[in-house]
Amino acid sequence: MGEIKERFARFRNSDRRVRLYRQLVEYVAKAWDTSAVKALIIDGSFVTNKAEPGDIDLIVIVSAALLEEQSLSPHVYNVLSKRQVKKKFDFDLFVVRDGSEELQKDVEFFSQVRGKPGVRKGLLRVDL
Amino acid sequence: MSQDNSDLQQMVEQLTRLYEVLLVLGRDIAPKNPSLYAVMAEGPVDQIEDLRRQIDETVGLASLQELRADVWLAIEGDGIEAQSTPSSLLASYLDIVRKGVQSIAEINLQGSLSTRPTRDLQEACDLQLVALQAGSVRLGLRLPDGFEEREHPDLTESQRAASGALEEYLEVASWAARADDEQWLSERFTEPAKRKVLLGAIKSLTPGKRSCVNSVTLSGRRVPGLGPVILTRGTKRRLDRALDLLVETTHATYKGVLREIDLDRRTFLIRGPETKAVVRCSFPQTLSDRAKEALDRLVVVTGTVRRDKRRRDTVDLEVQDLAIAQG
Repeated sequence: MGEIKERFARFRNSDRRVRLYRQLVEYVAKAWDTSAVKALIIDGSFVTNKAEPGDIDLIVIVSAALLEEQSLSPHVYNVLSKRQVKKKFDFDLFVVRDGSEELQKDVEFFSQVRGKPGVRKGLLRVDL
Repeated sequence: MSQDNSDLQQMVEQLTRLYEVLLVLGRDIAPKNPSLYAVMAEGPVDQIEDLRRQIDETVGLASLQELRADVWLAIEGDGIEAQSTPSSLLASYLDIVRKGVQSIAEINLQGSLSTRPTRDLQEACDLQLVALQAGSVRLGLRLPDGFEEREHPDLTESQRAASGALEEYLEVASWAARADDEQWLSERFTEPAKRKVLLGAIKSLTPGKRSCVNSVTLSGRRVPGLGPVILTRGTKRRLDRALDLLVETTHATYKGVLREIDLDRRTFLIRGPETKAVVRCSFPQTLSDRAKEALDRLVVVTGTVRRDKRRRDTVDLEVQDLAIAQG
């Protein structure tokens, strides 16, 4: 996270990047607490060179063991539910299992550059 | 391949990826852990809706959709978003439009509002919901069977009235949303009673001070210039000003018996023998003792009258002077 702060959370034209980073840190802390989240892939204009980024998109990689749980506890649900996370942090997210087929497809999906077919962009992975 | 085509192809490929993700989740997760499946599906489902909308716009389907409804009603506000909008809010907006159109149609047919419109008229004004668009709260409405006079010359009287009422409803909404041409309304609708019904109907649709709705946007084939007509809290102030113009203020004197005094609210009524209408009076603190003394006695009151042009049976008087009549 320190590297992300160094690279993407500096004050540019406004404190927008700083605020987004603070929210990301808060989310990461909650995700860490659940033990269900193994890693995050960060996308969105926050991880671009844009001075005023609009958003952070996340692929949340969860442990395959979560599949065996009977139900989701509230603190896990609040970290994985797109609607809850949108409401609290204003992030968009996808949830995938570690090493799964859907992870590959979501990475392909997020690597695309809109309006530039054939161009692929890099994504940032943070292991928790 | 044109730029549009390559964009379209990219979007379709992206859409396919998301459908494949759903397929995998449905196959691997849903049978074992339905609640995890529901959470994991949220992202792809929202993104699919978003992409579909973009594809519809790219291929022109969105503008075709636009023409399917007589009027589109887009509701925007805090906490109002697709899949989490209270159904009570949607129901109340649908009802506001239906009742607004119905009251205008009734005025057009009968010249006044009744407590119970005819069944024919109720059916003719019962707009059909042709679309509820995801992504934002946008309702597509049309009159039953999409009837329009020029397309169906054999409409019933009620159907014609409903069609005309919707036209007028949208005209007044469009006027209210514009910040110019103050005179247009009184020139277009010269009868105050009808103007009041029209203004009231649009006022109900317009967001108020305490509403969670920030704006209501109207568009569609029956909206003047196809819209958009954007109603905001500012629009409500304009409607209130237009409604205020329907209330006459004059100076007057009334003689009658003082009844039903309320010292807390500082109000009383004046009834006969000279006044046909009931005069509802409000009075200043300084007249409290005299008003109390005058209860059930013949009095002469003078003050400022606010007479609602639509209601002829009641007068509101702000009392400035009160005298107990001799004899």
